[in-house]
Amino acid sequence: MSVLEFLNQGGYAYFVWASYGAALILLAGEIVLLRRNHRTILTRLGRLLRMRTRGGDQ
Amino acid sequence: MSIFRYAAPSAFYPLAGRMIPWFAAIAAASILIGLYWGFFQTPAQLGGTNPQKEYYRIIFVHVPAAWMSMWLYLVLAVWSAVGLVFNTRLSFMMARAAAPTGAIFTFLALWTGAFWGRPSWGTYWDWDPRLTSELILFFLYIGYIALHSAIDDARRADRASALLAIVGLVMLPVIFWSINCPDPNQCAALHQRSDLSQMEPNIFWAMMIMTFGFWMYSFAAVFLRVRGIILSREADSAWVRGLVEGKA
Amino acid sequence: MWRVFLCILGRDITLAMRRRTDVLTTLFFFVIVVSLFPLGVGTEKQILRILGPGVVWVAALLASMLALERLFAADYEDGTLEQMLMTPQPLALLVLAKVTAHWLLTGLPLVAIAPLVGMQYHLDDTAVVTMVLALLVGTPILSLLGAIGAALTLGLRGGGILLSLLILPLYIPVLVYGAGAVTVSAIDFADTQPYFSLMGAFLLLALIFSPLAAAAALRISME
Repeated sequence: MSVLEFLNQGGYAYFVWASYGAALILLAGEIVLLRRNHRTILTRLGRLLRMRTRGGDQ
Repeated sequence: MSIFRYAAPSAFYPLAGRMIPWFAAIAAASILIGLYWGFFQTPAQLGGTNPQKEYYRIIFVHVPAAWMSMWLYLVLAVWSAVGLVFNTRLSFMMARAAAPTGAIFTFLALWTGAFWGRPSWGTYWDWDPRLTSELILFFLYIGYIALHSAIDDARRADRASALLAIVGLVMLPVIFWSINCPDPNQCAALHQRSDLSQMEPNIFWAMMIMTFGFWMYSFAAVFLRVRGIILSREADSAWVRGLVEGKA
Repeated sequence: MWRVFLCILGRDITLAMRRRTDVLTTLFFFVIVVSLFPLGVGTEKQILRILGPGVVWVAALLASMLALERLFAADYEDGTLEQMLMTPQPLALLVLAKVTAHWLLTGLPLVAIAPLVGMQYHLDDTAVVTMVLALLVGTPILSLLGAIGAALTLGLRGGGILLSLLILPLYIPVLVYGAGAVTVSAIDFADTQPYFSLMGAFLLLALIFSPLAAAAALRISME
């Protein structure tokens, strides 16, 4: 099967790739968002912590 | 005694962190194998009593997504019940972490189902019992997440949404049964013509591998999310402060 | 126990009677919604006959749900609910009394006004009778299930909409069987029997379990 044939999926390219595309976007997107969220939480907590200890020094 | 120490968020956080890469790797491998098998080792047509052309390959995302959507709701409800009975914070956090992933799978099942339905049944949507139940399941997920977000007090939020999840779980079979219509002449019964036992082995196994891959993915995603929830909720505790200091 | 039940029931009805407009607004909402559909869908007799049962049931769901907010809200605000939680009486019984009052004030009027609606939708006599009976069995279920949602969303901002989001999916079996009974009555009244059996069973289960679930929800919301 050539690459073109594969992409064409017997003429049903639209349906097949809309489905798989959505799956890819949603699932990969979820992971990306979760990792970014995790980093944000850590940054924010770090900031809070530094604020508090700095406030304690003063 | 040893396994129950992981019921403490502080112990579960690092454990989950170590397990996530493994789940992710197994998920990626399974999904790639499943896709390869599904696209290249299977006939170009779904045969038997239900002839469908190449678009049937949507089955390799649609069915696993649908199964995961139902499974994750069960997981959510079980963790909710455990939380209510044993009063453990982490159980509620796990339930809350499972909900968005479940909702995403439900949406994906509906979406891929629509794109599969158009070429095979001629329509993107119909009020077939299984489709309708999946839609209602989506509403149940959204309701759970909405209720949890609407309550500021974490404890009340946890317990209220836990109760809602359990009520939803009890009602789900009733709802499905009420809209289920065994007589195809009386109502849309598009799913009636599908049957697992008649499926060609390659297709069946590719689908199973994809299901396993999605399941492993769910572990990774839910563990990732629960780590974020643990950090936010336990922010005032010593171990989180130590963790954050270490990273600063 | 029976006296406690009657006491709460009487109290709720008396309080509601002092603000009669609340009760009437629910009823008029129902009538307005039911009247809107023919304006939007067209007044052709055949269409209305087919739509009628479903529309009436959806309107009944919505009307019942709007009134649910007030089930616990007033008592929550003035502290009575807290007192109720502290009494030695089983909370589920108190909830059942409140739900009964709610149904008498919002569900029963819908049942009474159903023949009028039946006339608007050109339903024949058997259909109207079936509709009245189905609503009679179904509206208590709506009140019972709704109480769980009302207890969970107690005191929350955006409570009404959130309540709808939570409860409407759970109403679906009542809707399907209730509307189905009326539709089937056109063929033969005897055909409605399985629908009524199912709804009756559902009502019994709701009578037993909803007050318990709602009581648990109240305790969670009021901690």
